[in-house]
Amino acid sequence: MANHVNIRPPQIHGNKNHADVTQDVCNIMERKPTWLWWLGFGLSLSALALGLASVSYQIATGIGTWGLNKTVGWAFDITNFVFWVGIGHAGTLISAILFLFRQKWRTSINRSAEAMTIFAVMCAGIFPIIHMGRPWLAYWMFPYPNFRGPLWINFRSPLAWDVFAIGTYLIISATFWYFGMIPDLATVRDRAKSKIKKFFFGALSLGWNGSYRVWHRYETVYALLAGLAAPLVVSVHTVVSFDFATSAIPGWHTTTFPPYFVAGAVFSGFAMVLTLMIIARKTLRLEEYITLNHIENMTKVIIVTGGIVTLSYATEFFMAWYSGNGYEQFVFLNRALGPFAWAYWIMVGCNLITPQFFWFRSIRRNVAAVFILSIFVNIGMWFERFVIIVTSLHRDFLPSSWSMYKPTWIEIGTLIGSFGLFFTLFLLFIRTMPMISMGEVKSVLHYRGNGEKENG
Amino acid sequence: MKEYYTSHENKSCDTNCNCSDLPSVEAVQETSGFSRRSFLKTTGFSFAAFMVACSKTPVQKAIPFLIQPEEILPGKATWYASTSFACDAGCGVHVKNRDGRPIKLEGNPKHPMTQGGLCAQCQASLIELYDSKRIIDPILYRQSSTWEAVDSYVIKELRKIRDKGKEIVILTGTATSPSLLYTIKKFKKKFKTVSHIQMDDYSYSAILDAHEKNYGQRILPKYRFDKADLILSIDADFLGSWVSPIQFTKDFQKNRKLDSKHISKLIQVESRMSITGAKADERIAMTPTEMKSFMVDLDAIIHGKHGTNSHAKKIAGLLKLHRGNSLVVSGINDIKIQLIVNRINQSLGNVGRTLDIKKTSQMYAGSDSSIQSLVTKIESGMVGALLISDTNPAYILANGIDFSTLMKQVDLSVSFSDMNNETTAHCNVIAPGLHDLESWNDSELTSGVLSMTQPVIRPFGKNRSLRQSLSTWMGMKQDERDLVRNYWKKIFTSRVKSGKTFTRFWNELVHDGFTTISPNSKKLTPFKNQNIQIEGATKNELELVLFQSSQLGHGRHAENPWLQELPDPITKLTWDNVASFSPETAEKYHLKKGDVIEIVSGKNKIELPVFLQPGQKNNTVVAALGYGRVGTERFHEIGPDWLEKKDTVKKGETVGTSVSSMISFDNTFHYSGMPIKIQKTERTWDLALTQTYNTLSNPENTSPASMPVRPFVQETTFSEFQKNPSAGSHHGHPITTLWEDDHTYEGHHWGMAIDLTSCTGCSSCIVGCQVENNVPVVGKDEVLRKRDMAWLRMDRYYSGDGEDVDVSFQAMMCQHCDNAPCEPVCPVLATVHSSEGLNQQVYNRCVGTRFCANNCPYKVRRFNWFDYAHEDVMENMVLNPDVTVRSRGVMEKCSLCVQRIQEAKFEAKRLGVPLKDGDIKLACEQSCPADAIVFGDLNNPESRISKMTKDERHYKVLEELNAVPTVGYLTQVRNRDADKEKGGHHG
Repeated sequence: MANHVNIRPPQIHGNKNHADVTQDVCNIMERKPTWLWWLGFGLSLSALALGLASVSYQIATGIGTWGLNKTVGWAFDITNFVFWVGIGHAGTLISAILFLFRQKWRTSINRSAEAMTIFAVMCAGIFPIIHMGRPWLAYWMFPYPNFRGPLWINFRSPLAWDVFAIGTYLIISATFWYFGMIPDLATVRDRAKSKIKKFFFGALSLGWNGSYRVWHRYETVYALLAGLAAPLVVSVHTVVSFDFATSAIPGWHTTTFPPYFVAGAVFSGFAMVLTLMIIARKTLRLEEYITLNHIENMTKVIIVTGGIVTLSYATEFFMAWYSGNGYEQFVFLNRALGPFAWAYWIMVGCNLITPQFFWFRSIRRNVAAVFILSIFVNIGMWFERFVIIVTSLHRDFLPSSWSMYKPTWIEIGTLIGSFGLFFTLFLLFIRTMPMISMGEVKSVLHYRGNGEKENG
Repeated sequence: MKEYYTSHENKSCDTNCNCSDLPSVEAVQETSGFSRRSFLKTTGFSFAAFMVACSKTPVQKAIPFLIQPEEILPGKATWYASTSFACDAGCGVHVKNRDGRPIKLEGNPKHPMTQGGLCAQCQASLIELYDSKRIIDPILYRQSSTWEAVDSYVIKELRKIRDKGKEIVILTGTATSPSLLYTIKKFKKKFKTVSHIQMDDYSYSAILDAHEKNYGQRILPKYRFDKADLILSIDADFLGSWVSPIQFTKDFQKNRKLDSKHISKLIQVESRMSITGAKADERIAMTPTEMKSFMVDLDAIIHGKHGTNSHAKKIAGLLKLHRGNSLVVSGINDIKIQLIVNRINQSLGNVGRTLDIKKTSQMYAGSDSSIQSLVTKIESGMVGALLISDTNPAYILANGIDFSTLMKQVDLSVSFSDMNNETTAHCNVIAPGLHDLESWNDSELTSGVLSMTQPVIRPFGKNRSLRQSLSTWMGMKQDERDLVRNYWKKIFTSRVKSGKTFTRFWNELVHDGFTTISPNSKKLTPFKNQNIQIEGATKNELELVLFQSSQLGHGRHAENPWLQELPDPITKLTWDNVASFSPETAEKYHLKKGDVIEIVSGKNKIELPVFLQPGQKNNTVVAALGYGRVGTERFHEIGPDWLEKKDTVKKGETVGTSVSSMISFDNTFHYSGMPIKIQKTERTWDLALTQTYNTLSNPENTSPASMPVRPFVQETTFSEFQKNPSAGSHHGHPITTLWEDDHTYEGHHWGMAIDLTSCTGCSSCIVGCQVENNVPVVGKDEVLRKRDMAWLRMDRYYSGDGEDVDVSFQAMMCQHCDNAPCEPVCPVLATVHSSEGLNQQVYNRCVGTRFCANNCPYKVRRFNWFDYAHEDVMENMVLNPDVTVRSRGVMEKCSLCVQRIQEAKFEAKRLGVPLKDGDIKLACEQSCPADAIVFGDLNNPESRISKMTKDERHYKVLEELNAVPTVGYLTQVRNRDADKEKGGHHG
């Protein structure tokens, strides 16, 4: 280290060599799980069980087990859906867009962030299915040749667009994630001692041999896939925002929704990555890989996207005023001062005020503070979707139909269950897959040149 | 429209044909051997099979019609004219029968009284036919028995009582059936000591008593709201519940036609907020005590004496201007007040012009004083037998009368009710009667108009009418039809002067459901003025006002789920009755909505939840009669069952609370003005309202300056309207579009218009829609969760403040938008546009994303949150086979009765004639007593709908959204001074 002139601070601390990296990362999945992991897994599994029970009961009994009514037709269901889709966005942004921009710091977190994306999209995908009155007919949402005419889907419906957007997103993200993992899977294969593991990882690593040619092709395809995934960061949440933007309901019918939603998604996604990574680096002792610099970089993204979100909130109010449309104006006054004002101010407090703390370097580098603030952003972004959906619906045009919304325990159980699913999958992921991209991290190590051999 | 309502006796004849040319029903019966009765028996038998199918016994064999009955064409409805007595006034109906079972009642347009309108109670009474809780076997000492046993027991007892010289009292509701009265007369002859006492659920005794004093006869005049230019109504809710509301609504509309130079003016004086008050051109809120002094002053001023009341001065001036064409009515059951009313009408020369005392209304003949003397007689042991029919005295006479001890005084007590009620619980014998749809009956509701009731289904059980039971006990066992028919055969020549043969008279009567006969003239004496002393009013802190709601009446229909869930037109409350306070009074007593209070009047106490009613007079407490009925415990189970479900009623509790004990007696029953004390309890109560935000003004703190009030209800005054027919409307700027019009509507283009000037908010249409379209009842908890399923709702908005509140109604259903916002958002194309302008919901394609409901600006779509089963499986028989019963998880909404459109189109096609305007009448349209709803083809320039659409008053709700609804509204016009028009609705 001493014989190097450092223009930038090192990405990875602790003077790691290639072998250390392999050892550190693989050790997480090779050693026995700690009591902390078991605790987390137990809690997540319990939450998942609660969610499964709630959803089963709801599907067996009817949507009536939710607190919805004739005026508020969506609430927790679509709130959760948009929330989880949004969470996913950080992963794709980190792995694809930051890759294309050659942001080397991404290497420590991109694997986990991508895994998070996939699990979040899986959580999100549940909601459009279970929110249907007849979920057993969900396959009708797909255009497939049939004997009913054939009867196609309504290509004008934003919900049909959602099917494609979310479907594409899940497929591309999963491919990208898996493809990026192949060299590391080969490493795990090579280290595996049990036959089952050898076979399993052998199959997954697709005969990777680490040759120059393989690496070359891998890099090419990875770049192509990154290029393919990059537009999804923008497109998915744009399409999700169309669910609202193309409607006739004041508070939904807004052209600013696509950029607003995308920024919000990245904002919430980075907050979730921070939440997860801060826990992971602490419990898995990855402080040398996920450094304060990583955390600081991510908080900077939060400042920027938080700013866009703030601007969007302001734009909505400005446009309501400027439009001279009484219904539009009412909706925004009702958001800020109506019966759901508490939800609105939680949203404002969490999404507008929280990022401002990140202007201070001391806070950016204070792990505990960042952790708490990231939780606030998560809460705020959940409430943002709740506010958009529920406050626009509960008092729309005809006052005779105005109503309130209160969730039932089934809905709360379902929300908890979705977190249960997310964390269960994530905890399983860190036990079974290399959670840090070893191959990429090795490429950003400061080369020590003492000819140490690697194990991988 | 093709007239379907032939009785099956004349099924092949068109309306205009000469029915006497056809073989008479007698002839058919005699020759074919397959009579109407046997037909009904056959259908009844298939019913029995159906009932068995509904019970838990597995069906081994389904037996099809091997020989198809002549009348029954699968899929084809047969219609029978009849009369329904579910409401006290009686409605002329057409009964729609499908596959042998009645599934719908509709108004009979030719009936001279109800003129095609049909009240909510009569429409809903259909489901009571299929109530599995009906008594279908005679009951002797609480044991199911046979008619033989009951008959011999009753005859033995009656003879014993007669021999002892004790009285046999027949206590009935007002008996309007001449044949029944004749039977009772014969019964009197046979058993000597018989007396017949009539008692109405809600008493009009004071009006009759006052007329007796003034004109020598207990009569109820026939009010002619169509002839009156100025109507002063003192606490008479004649559009909602008073005397004959459907008839009055029809009549009232006749003098409200906006194309004439003058329309009538309605001044309503009342304490509560009634729909008549809501519709009134001027409404003055007064306490019952103030009303008395107002009446005294009004009387004085009209008769040239001095009066101080400012309202009385002004109104007296107006009344004097309208001598001979004004009408004063009062719903206060106080002889003194009614004497004043009579004197005023007499002095103004209204008698004989706006109210007819020669051809009178006969639907109420009850006498309160005879009830009171009956009680004394029973107490003194003079009464040996009490035969009770068509009334529920144990519930109604709750004040100070302990009915159970009273009933122990009589040796024989017989009830003819087919439902268990408060009275049957104390009777030795229950001889269950028939539902209107199972029975033959004749009735003379107005003198000179004979209405006919004919059975459209064989009785479900062994039930038998009062007429038949009495005849049997006299030893003259006869077929029910013969009892009615033979009576008319006998008196035919004296009552019918048309020169028709009896057979023809009878056939026409059964075919049309009514006929005119020469009226029974009662000899009136010239007006005898009465000295009226009204003691100086004592000031009461709080006065109680009781009213009968237009849903439950006086409790007769408490077990009818449709009526229990029908929102009150004003309060929008379901499944409960409340103690209403004006907001100001509530504040004075620190009461909030839902607080339970104890109301103390004399020795009696009741507990009711508090409700705040804008426009109600301060210092009055208003409560609805008819709740707290025994039997409503059954609704414990109603509604979908799930984890967080709350019961509609707790186990063993009733729906609402009976307020009968608050009725006071002083010569007559008094329903208002009782001084009361209230006491707040610690408890609160959930009130299931279908509408919880009550005005078109935004909440103060969230109201944008650009739109303080939403312009959905357009209003103007008659004088403004005459100057400018488009007064009051806010037509937006025309919207231009670059898109090509993709809806060309080359054939039909269906549309609907609702005239807000006519609509009284009575909510009869809601029940009509519910019955026609198999709309489920969901129970109180679901209503509380805002998940009522009504396709058609009656939006009600208040404007103004304090006691001076205006009410506007707006019937709201799917607006069938040309650019429907619901259509593009459905991912599976479950809601699509028809080539005739209908927005169609395809239930079996719907996956239930609810996006369409969210995107509907009118919020008229209803989602099936659960599977809604009938509380009573037998009630499944009421389902309309033309309309799908929706399963859980699908969206539904108003279809503009597409099944009716299709049926009429097919019929026109079959006959090879073009569809005429008016051939299709929607369920809501046909029941509307105000003719406010008009449906038709917009492509037909001659149709009523086309003309209404071109009317300057025509507007569309939320026109600026460019959803282009095909349902429009016509500006509400009130006949009031322009300066009094409140700015409330103008934004």
